[in-house]
Amino acid sequence: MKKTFLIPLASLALCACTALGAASTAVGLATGAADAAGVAAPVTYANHTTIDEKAGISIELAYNAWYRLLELAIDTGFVKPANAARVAALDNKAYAATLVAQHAYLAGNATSFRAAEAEARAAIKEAMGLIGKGT
Amino acid sequence: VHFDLATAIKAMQGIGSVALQLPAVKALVDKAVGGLKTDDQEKARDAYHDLIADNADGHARVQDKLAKLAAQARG
Repeated sequence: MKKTFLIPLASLALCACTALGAASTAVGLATGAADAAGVAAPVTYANHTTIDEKAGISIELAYNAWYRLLELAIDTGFVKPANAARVAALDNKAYAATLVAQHAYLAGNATSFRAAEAEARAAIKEAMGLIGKGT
Repeated sequence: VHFDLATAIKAMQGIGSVALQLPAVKALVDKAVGGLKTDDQEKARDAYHDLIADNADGHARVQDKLAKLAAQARG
């Protein structure tokens, strides 16, 4: 029964992760083309572009879906007290990735966006795996 | 799946708390999706900043709840 209502939220979190991948691909294509030409990618060093905001939105959306799923899991007794510290550490890891992305945004550094996206995706996936097992 | 009344009650309370947030969540997500689609940097930036603020609040809230759960485990 518990899994029934968690599935839509889990799908939302996974969709957000997919959006995350699409945005990071856009960033990667922009920087990759410049790398091939042997020059620094404009998106890496120039002032912010909409790609910066879109990559940031994708990462934040993935975390947003994740924390809402986690909060519902906590509120419904899905997270056992014995595992709370472990889940908290994974949530911190995922949130830290959003902070890295925010710093990358402020610095206009596309490479850091890609690293943050990978961190966020890994932490959210690991934490969702815990909830899926009835943590 | 084992049925447990206490869990069912918690589930209803949890769903209730999510349902109360739904209009605000929908508005936030709609704005974020709009930010992904637009070429208007101001709109995208505004959506990004809204998400950052909401995530900061949400992160603090779940960490607080998890800390209370962890304290239960320690007895």
